[in-house]
Amino acid sequence: MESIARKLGEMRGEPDWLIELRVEAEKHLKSAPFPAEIRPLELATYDPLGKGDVELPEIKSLDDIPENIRNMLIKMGVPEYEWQKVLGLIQVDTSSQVTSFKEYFEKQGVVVLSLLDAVKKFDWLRDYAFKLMPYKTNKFAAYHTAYWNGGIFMWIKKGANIAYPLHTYFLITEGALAQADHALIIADEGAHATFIEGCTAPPLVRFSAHIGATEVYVKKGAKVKGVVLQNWPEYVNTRPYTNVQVEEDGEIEVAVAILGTGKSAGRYEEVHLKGKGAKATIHSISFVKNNEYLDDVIKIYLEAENTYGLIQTKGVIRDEGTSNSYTHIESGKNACHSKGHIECSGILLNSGAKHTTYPGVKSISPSSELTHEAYVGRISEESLTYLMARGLSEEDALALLVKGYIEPVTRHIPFEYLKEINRIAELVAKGGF
Amino acid sequence: MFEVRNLSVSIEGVLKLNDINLKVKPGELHVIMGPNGSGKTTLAMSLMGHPRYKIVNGDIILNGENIKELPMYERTRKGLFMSFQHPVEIDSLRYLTFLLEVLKKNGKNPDIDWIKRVFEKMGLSEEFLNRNVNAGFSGGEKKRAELAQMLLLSPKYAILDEPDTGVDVDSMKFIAGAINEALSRGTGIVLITHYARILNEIGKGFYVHILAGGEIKAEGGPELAEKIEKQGFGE
Ligand SMILES: Nc1ncnc2c1ncn2[C@@H]1O[C@H](COP(=O)(O)OP(=O)(O)OP(=O)(O)O)[C@@H](O)[C@H]1O
Ligand SMILES: [Mg+2]
Repeated sequence: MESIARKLGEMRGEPDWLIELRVEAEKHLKSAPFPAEIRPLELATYDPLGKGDVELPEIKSLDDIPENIRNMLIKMGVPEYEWQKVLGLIQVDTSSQVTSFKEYFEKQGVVVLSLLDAVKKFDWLRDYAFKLMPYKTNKFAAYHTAYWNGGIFMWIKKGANIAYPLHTYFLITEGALAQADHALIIADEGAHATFIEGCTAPPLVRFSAHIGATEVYVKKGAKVKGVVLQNWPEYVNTRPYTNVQVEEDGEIEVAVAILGTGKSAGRYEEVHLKGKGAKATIHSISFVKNNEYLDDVIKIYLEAENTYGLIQTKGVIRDEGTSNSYTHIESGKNACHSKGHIECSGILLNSGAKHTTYPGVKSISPSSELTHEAYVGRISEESLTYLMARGLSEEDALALLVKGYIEPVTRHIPFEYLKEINRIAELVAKGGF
Repeated sequence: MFEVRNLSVSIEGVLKLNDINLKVKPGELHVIMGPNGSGKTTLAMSLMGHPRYKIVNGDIILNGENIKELPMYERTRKGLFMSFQHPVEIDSLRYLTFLLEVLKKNGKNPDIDWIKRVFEKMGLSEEFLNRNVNAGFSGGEKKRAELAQMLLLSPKYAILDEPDTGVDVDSMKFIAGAINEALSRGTGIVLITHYARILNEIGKGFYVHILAGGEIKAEGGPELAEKIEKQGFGE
C-alpha cells in the first residue's frame, strides 16, 4: 500500500528524517490507542491530502461573507481587522504586513518561519520537532505526526525580550486553517515572550476534524506567557495537543479561554518542569453551551527540586453542554520541596448542563506539597434576587455573576481580548449565543 | 409620595399581611416596629417586588404610578431601595465590580473616587471594595455597606430592614448618620427596627407604626416607640 504520509512529506520536499518519522507514525496509527480521557474520533474518514470535507462558500474578500456569519461576528463584537484571519483570508506569505512584522521581530531576536522552511533550514530541529509528542503516545499524536501540514516555528533567541505579544495566527505562513497544524516554539536561555494563539471568533474551516499540536521549549531562565483563545464552529471536532518542557528557573504561564468547543473538543496539555526552580501556571476558562462537548486535560509534572505548578480551571456550562475537566499534578522522586495546587470548578446555568471534575495529585517525593480543591455549583437564587433588587434584570444579574466567577482567570488575559471574552460570557449567560 | 393601599400578601398560599396602609412623603421617616415574625420583612420584600411574596389585594403607588406589577429591578430603577435584614454573600463577585454595574444600570455615574468616599463615610476602608460582595463581612459591616449603597443610589424612597440589629455603638453612629443624610436629601424612609436606640439619633420627627400578626395595630409619634421600648408589645 502506498504511504500517504510519505507522499505528503515528499510533495512538500521535507528532509528525510521527517518523512521517515511520518511513515513510522502512519504505521503505528491503526494500533495506537485513543487517549484515556479524550473522546475518540473516527479519523479514517478524513483525506489528509484533500481539500476538506466541509462545504463552504468561496470567500475571496470580506464582501463574500455570508449574512449569518457576518451577523455572528458583529454580535460577538469581533473587530474587523480580525475578520480576515477568521475567514482564512490571510494567505501564504503574500501579506506584506506579515513580512514587515517578521523583519521587525528578527531585529529583536525572534525567528519566525513556516515549520517546513524551518526544518529545511535548521538541521538541529530534528532534536526538537515532534520530540515532545511521541507518536506512540496515542492515536491523535500518531495521526498528527503522520499527516501534519502547515505550521509555524518561532525561536526567541538567547536573552531576547519581546515586549509585544506574538500572534501565532497572524504570523503563520502556511495553512493557517489546516487540519493538523503544528507549532514549535523555542524560548532560548533568558528569553521573554508572550504568544497569542487563536482568536475569539470561530474560524471558517474546511475540515470537520482538527488535530493540531504545539510544542514549547522553555530554556534556562526563560519566561513564556501564552494566551490561547479557541472558538470553533459547531460542525468541528478538535483535538489540540500541547506539550511544554521547562528547564531550570524557566517559567511558563498559560491562560486558556475556550469560548466555543465546536461539536466536540478534546484539549490535552502537558507541562514538564525539568529544571530546578521551574514554574508553570495554567488558568483556563471554558464556556460550554448548546450541545457542545469538552474534555479538558491539564497535567503538570514536577520533575526537579523547588518546582511549582498551579492549575486553575473554571467552566460555565449551559443548555445541554457537557464538560469534563481532568487536572493532574505529579511530583517525581527528584522533586524535593516542590509545590503544586489544583483548583477546578464549574457552574451550571441550567439543569441540562453537566460538568465533571477529576482533579488528581500524585507525589513520590516526601517533601513536596500538593493540594487540590474542586466544586461544581449553580448560581444561587438568593444572589440573583439581591442583584435584581439593585436594579439588574435577571439576565444582567446572571451575566454579572458569570463575569465575576471567571474574573480570577480573565485577569491573566490581555486587555484587548477581555472585552470580547466578557461579551461572550454575557452571551452565554443570556443564552443568546 | 409613596403609598401602600390596603395591601394584603400571602406566602405559599398563607396570608401574612392584611390590609396594610402607609403614606410616606419625601424626607419623612416612618418607623415600623413589631414582634418577631409579625411580617415586617414580608412587607419590605413585597414593596420591593420579591417574587416569593404574592400580593392578593391592594396597591403600591410610587409618585402616582402603581408599581405592584413591576419586577424588582424596575422598581429600583424608579427610585425605590431596600436594605436587607440579611444581605447575601456573593463570594465570586467583587464589591467594586458589583457597584459599578449597579450604578450604571440605575443611570448614575460609576465614579470610583466617589464610591470610595461614600464607603469611607460609612467607616468602610477601600479594602472592602476589593473583597467579594459581603463575603466574610461582619454583621455591622454588611449593614454599613447596605447603607453606603443607599447613599450612592440616592433613592426617592428607601425601606431599611433592621439596619441597626446586631451593630455596635460606633456602627450605629454611621448608620444613623446615613439615615439623617438621606432624609435631608429628601429620601422618604421606611425604617424597620426593634430598638428606640437608633431613633434617639434621628434629628427630626417621625411616625411609628406597630405591626403585629400581619396587621397595623397602632400608630403614633416618637412617644409610641418609647412606650414599646419600656413595656414591650404587651396588649
Ligand atoms: N418563605 C417563607 N415561607 C414560609 N413562611 C415564611 C416565609 N418567609 C416568612 N415566612 C413567615 O412569615 C412570617 C413573617 O415573617 P417575616 O420575616 O416577615 O417576620 P419579621 O417581622 O420580619 O420578623 P423578624 O423581626 O424576626 O425579622 C413568619 O411567621 C415567617 O416564618
Ligand atoms: Mg425581618
